[in-house]
Amino acid sequence: MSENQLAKLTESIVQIDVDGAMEAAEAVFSAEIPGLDILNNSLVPALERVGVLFRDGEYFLPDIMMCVSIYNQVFERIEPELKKGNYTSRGKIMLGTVKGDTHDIGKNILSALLQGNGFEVINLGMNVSPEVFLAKAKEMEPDVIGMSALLTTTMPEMKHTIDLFEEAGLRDKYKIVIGGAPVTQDFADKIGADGYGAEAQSGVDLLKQMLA
Amino acid sequence: MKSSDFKVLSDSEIKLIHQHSLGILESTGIRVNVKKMRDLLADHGCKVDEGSKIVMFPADVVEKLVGMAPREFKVCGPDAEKQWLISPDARIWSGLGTAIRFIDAGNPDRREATQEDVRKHMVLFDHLNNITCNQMDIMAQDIPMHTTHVEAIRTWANNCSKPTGMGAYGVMAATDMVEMLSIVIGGKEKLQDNHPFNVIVSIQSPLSTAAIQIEGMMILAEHRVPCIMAPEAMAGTTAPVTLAGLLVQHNAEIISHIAMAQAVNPGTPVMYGSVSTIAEMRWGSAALGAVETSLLSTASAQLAHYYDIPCRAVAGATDSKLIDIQAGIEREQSMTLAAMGGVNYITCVGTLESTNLGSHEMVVIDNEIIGRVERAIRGIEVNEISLALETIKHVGPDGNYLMEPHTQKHFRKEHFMPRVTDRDQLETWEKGGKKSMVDHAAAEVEKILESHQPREIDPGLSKELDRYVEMVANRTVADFEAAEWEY
Repeated sequence: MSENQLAKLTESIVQIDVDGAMEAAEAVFSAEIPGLDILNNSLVPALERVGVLFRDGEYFLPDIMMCVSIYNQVFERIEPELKKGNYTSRGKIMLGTVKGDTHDIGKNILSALLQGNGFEVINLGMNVSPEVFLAKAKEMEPDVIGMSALLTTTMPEMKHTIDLFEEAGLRDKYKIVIGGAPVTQDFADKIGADGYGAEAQSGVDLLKQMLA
Repeated sequence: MKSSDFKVLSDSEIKLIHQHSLGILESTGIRVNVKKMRDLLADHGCKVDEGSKIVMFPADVVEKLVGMAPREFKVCGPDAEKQWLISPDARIWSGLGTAIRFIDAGNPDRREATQEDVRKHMVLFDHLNNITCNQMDIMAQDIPMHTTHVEAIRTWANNCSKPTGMGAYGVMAATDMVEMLSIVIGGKEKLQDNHPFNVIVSIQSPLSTAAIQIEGMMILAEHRVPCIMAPEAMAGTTAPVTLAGLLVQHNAEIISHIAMAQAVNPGTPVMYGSVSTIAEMRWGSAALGAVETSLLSTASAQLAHYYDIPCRAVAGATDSKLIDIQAGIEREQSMTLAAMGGVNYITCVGTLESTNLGSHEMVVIDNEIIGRVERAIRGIEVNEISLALETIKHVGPDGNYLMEPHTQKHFRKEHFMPRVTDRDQLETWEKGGKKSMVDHAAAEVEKILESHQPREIDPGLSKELDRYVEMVANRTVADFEAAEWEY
């Protein structure tokens, strides 16, 4: 019985049937299926299938966004229960667009894909100064900090941020990765970042590898 | 609104061409190279000169017979319930050509076309959503020539759920077509109302007929097989160099052939066909990829619609010998203009080198071009939902639409979603092996051939088709020649 209900939820998420998914989720909740079961046997497999559809060119970004939004709505409901148990996410990732830059489409795509892959994401938004990155890192203690920039003129802020972490003696406490249209592997090496993703999917792959 | 149409003739110019075509048919006439057809036309009131085999068509006879052609009809697959409409208001895309050679992605050398290419081609057509009919598009060179037609029908019935067709190749071959089609569709009487097969009747310009084509048409029209009357008049060699002059002649040729089909079996579905083009003035050969082909195809659609019948014209044909930029320019331009010009059955998907060269990759790319063209024609839909006012307000300044349900709900229909066009970011493209559109198409061909499930055919029917093919294989070419009627 619970298997059928979980399969229905999985299928509704994959088919991007928002109403169907919410209905299936309510059924799952009222059947009192354990949160960990919902996560491992419905939410995660659903997003894995969506990931494959995306990779094969059948699904596109708006599809991923909707699937992740459904995932988040269900996840929020089971999160308190999960936290009481011994559940841990794949890793805590803090994302932000650097100071002076107000472009965040790419970062939001990455954020959605990361959540869909079982990461916990803290999204600091746009125009994030080195100081805010540092303060938030101390407060939230992420495993990885990801910075993005769309403008060549704001790219130097990535270096400023890394330098500030260095000065504070906290550079080795966090992995720092960067991305964004003008950013390259060369640039990442030059400023001492730990990694670089050319687009959202390779960003996910990078973090999976990093936190494996 | 829907995008605007493309037109090349005014209403009065259409009428003028029609009047002059009737005048030519009445005064100069058409050479009809089959005695049986001349006798039939004489019975309908045409003036026949047996010495020269010239038939003069009085205007009222032509108009009466052409008026019997139906406005629209449905073609079907081997399973009669799967149908597509052919009408002056509809549009479908089709193969055609007689590729005797093939070119594969990544290899500039051509090779002979094989029966295995015919099978792959049928599977691709079955799978690709923008392409409907195949038309014996490939002449396999690894089987005896006198079995080409029956092998093609067998391969179609075993692999493809969409309609097929081929040329009218004389008495014996046309009889084979009828026999095999009735095996597939479940009896000859069913062919009268179900049309899994279109026959191309090639017209010999100027103002003549090809005997085997007339024989084939007479046999197939008897069973109400849709006939596509198709001259390949070339401006400057087999037609006047001026396009208007070509149209007068080509229109006379087509309407006389339509009249002939109606004389055989009133109500037989027909299409006003055109492969007409200009002659390449250096060699005297046909220039199918020329821009003038598009003008003639559009004029043909206008003339066909004047007679209230559907039009078939060639587009996507190229004179290039490679999958190169010339092939791209010539096919994209002609496909766009044919569709905007109102052609209802657009042929020659998947061909190169004036339709003599085939390419599986080209079929996949053409499917993509058709998607673009159809999107262009659909225009911009303006209504409450598409104006998206609520979403604009919801997202507000500096927001983003990517996460909006409105985006997910409409992007697939609103945007044409290409499969083999490369739009990757530079670094992703580099990492992916720097692939071209042709490389992507080659991968797509492989994927389709590996994963596609062809239709399931009744094993009993399949065996019956095998027996028929075996019987034809035991004939000689002389048997075919002996079966021809009196010229």
